[in-house]
Amino acid sequence: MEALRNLRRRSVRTSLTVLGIAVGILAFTVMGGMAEKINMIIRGSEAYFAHRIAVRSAGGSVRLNFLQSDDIATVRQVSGVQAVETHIMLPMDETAGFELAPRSLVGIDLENFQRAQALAGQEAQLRLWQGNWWRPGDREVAVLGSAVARRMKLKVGDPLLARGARFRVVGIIEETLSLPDGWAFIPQEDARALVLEVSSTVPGSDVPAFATNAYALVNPNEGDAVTDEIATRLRRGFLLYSPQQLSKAAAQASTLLNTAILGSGAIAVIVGALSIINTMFIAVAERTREIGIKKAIGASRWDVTREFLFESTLMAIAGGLVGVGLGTGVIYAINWYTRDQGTPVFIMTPRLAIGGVLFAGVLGALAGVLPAMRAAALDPVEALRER
Amino acid sequence: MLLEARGVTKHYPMGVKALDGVDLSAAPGEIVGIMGRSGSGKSTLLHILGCLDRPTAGSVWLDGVEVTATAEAALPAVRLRKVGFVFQAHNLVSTLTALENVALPLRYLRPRPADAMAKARAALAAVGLSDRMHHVPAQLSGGQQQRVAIARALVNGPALVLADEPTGALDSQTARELLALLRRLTAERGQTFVIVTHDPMVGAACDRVITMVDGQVHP
Ligand SMILES: Nc1ncnc2c1ncn2[C@@H]1O[C@H](COP(=O)(O)OP(=O)(O)O)[C@@H](O)[C@H]1O
Ligand SMILES: [Mg+2]
Repeated sequence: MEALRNLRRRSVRTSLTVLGIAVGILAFTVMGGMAEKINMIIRGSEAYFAHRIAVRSAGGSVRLNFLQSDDIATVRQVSGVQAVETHIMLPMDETAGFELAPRSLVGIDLENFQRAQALAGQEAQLRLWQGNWWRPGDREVAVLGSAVARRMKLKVGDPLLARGARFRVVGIIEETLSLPDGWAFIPQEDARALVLEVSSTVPGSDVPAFATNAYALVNPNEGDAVTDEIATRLRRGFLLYSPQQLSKAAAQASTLLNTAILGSGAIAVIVGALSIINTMFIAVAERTREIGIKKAIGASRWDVTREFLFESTLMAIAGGLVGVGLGTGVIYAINWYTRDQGTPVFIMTPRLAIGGVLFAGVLGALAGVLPAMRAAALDPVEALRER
Repeated sequence: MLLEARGVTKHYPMGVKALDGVDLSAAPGEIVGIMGRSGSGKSTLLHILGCLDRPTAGSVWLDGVEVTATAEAALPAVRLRKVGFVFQAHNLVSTLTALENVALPLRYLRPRPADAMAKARAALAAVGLSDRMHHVPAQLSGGQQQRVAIARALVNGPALVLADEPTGALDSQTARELLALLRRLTAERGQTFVIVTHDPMVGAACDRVITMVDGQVHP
């Protein structure tokens, strides 16, 4: 093919230009991999919260407002609420909150948890990868999220040491690439004991049955209405998040993040595209005589334009393929080196790979436009006077 | 008349009159020689006759169509179908093989002929270069390169073949052979052939010779 031969004839220049694009696409891919990871977390949370209205303490440094059993009862009585899932959530250790998949102990009542799982959508379901859930009444047992298991190098049967307590690992959950990967589920009674151990002020009178988080299970489309109803019924001091609000916030956050992250990757590619423009202008100057001959033979402006556009696009796609290849390599390498984090930092997805190559191709075509137009506009008589 | 030029004038800025009222006509199958000193306007005239350039004034009819009144965008198609050019040297695209160079006009035809490669092969065979099909120009002698250029000019079967000093860069023996070939091939195909030359021998072999002096046809 003529275009390939033209590129090969100036192989050093072509290689450098392709490399420029490749480096840009490499940056684009790696940054995109980070965006994909964040998107995955956001999507996972969205799925998790699609059927849930979250009720959380509004906080305050003086008095932490736990959810008492009469609060739970109030929420349950609101029409539209199918069930209320309660969690007692506490960080696994002092620094766990700063991790990529923040590790938390999540105290649950098994029966309550499983009813909620059945009501929530398919996408929000947590499936066991190894082992089993504990039997009702068991104590000091744990089912781990995948990131917890990997980071702490725990298998079924191993002991989990957290906050001075010891739990026997009975099950490990499939990787979700989202928040539950960082959770270790333990019986609610154990979690309650841990909270009481560190609380100097015992919250209220209802010690046996408090929770830190509650989720009202509802039909996703009734979220806003039911949320309003809960808000009027519940005593003050709690924050409510409806599924619709959460998904709107999530969409906003992910748009912002994607724009920022992919935008900075895109800048790198655009710099690469500038070098294509440069290379193609030189090519047009070098091949003036050739362009004159082709026009004398009967090539139209569009024939000439197309040939140069094709060359620039070809170069960019080559750069895109190399860049995506390198980017994938870098992503796998980083994930391998950070595998003791328990969860990958970057995620390589098919759409990222295809997007990277397409982006390069489109930029290559755009970069070829000005040089190709100059070639097409050459006066054949003058072009033939060359050399 | 296949070709008819009337009052063709070409002015350049700074008062250069490359052509000044040239009349010329050629019947189908006729061989016309153009002679004249360097700078007399021969190339300029040939470019205008071949729709590669436009005159400042005057008109040109090619195969019954007033090409000087044809829209710019339609001229490539006229060149593609009706005109074949052979220039003095460096006629070929250096990255393409002899065969691909000959097939080049067929690449620009719409629709693209299915038997393009067969046609190109036949044209190369007609100039005796079947055994050099896959050579690139750098691997061919000057005479061979010009023969490839002739094959390319003829591959589309144009009604008009224009040659601008096609042997100017060749030794006299090769030049004579090349001109004999060109004359034979255009005659076989009944094509009108206009050739710019300095060689009186070539001129003698034409049906008619016009001589240019300072942009005008010398009587
Ligand atoms: N682009 C141009 N601008 C100004 N003068 C030109 C241009 N092209 C050709 N000329 C002039 O036109 C005249 C005829 O040139 P040309 O047709 O090439 O002559 P020939 O082919 O007979 O040697 C010459 O004097 C040349 O300098
Ligand atoms: Mg000349």
